[in-house]
Amino acid sequence: MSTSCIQFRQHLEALLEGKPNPQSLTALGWHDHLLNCGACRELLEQEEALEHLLASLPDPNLPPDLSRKVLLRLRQAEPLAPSALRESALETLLSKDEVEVPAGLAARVRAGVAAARLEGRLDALLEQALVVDVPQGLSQRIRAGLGEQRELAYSSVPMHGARPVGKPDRSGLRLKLAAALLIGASGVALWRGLVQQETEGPDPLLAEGPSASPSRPEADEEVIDHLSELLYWESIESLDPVARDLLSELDLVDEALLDTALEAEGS
Amino acid sequence: MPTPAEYDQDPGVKLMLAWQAGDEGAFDEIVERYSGRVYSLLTRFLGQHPGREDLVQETFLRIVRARDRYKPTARFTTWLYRIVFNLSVNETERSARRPQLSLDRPPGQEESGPMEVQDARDPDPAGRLETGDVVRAVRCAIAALPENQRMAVVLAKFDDLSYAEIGRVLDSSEKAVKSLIHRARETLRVQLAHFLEEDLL
Repeated sequence: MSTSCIQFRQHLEALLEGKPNPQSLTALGWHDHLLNCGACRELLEQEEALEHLLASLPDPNLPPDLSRKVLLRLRQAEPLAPSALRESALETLLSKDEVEVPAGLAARVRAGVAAARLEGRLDALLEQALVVDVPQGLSQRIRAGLGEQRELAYSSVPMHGARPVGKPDRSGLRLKLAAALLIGASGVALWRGLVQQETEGPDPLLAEGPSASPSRPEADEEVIDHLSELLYWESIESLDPVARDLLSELDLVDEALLDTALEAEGS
Repeated sequence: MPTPAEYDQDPGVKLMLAWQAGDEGAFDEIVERYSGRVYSLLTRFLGQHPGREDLVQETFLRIVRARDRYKPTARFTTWLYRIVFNLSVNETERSARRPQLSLDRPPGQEESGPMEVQDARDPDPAGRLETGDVVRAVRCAIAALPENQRMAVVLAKFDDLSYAEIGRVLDSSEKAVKSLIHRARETLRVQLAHFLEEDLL
């Protein structure tokens, strides 16, 4: 093969990358080298024809509702995925080194907690949700802790705009976890309340088998959003001395109960 | 971890990062946006394999399991196609070890694919070629290519990936991809010689 053949074929290969422009290939047919080289002319013609054949292949027909079916089957195949994913979100939130307070977060958190408090259903919901006995007055202590301590925190922290927070030290980890457990319990209660408002049927968290997965996506999403915001907020607040006071009031029974509440959420 | 600026605007990367940060709806959007592309790629790579929908599901299952450790070090489709390629190769190896029986096609309605033995050099001798014959023969010739060559050709010709991106999917250098495609074209020219002559007439 001559040098000019090699150069011509390199030129041809460069044009064939991706989806070549047919006009470029046609223009190459006027290359001087082809006047004296039948082999390269034949190669060019074959490559053009091959491009034409490849381009003539129709797009594959997609099965109807493919993405919906995939999502459905994924949820059936991985019944633990939602809780696993939620746990991972919790981890992500707790492990953030630097966080900013989203605009309007304080108002939304206050509204969510106030709604739960006003409806006065925390004790009843906790009793239904958990397999262990609910200590007398637990929900009251949770409400008091959430409400009063937040009020204090809000009054001492400016709420407008974003607030960068420094990297937390290891000693804050347990506090953050405890805060997350506390918020998890109220989140479960809120979730259950929303579901029960919408359905008269048995509690999906207490049902058994694969169908026990939450089947009220709107309620689920609403509370997960709310819970995520609370967690986000609490992970910041745990660095505050005010939050340390709140958590020092928790006794071992409370912590065990809150732990179970998170397990119930995961089931 | 900061996202490399070059992938910041990649829609798939944005969705993955949103999902990783807790936006559950982002995963649904990933499935809606990319399941068709995964299915098309599988069809082009495996032919009319009866388990393509299962493989689409398996692809997204792997994404679910990789959620926590995902890092945007490439375009999302590069990562996605790499998963598809690995699954496809595994499936090809599994298929080679077991007799093939398609459960979703009645007899007489077969379409060409790697599971069906057909020689693209031996088209219907009875008369002029029909469009269906050509399509079937081209698919068959592609399906007969070695796996790396086949995926390289499919990604280059049908998914518009650059050689560098194909290299990331196949874990090869750009130069190696160029060589793969060169050899694949040589094989296709031989396998489809009859059709190329038809096309030239």
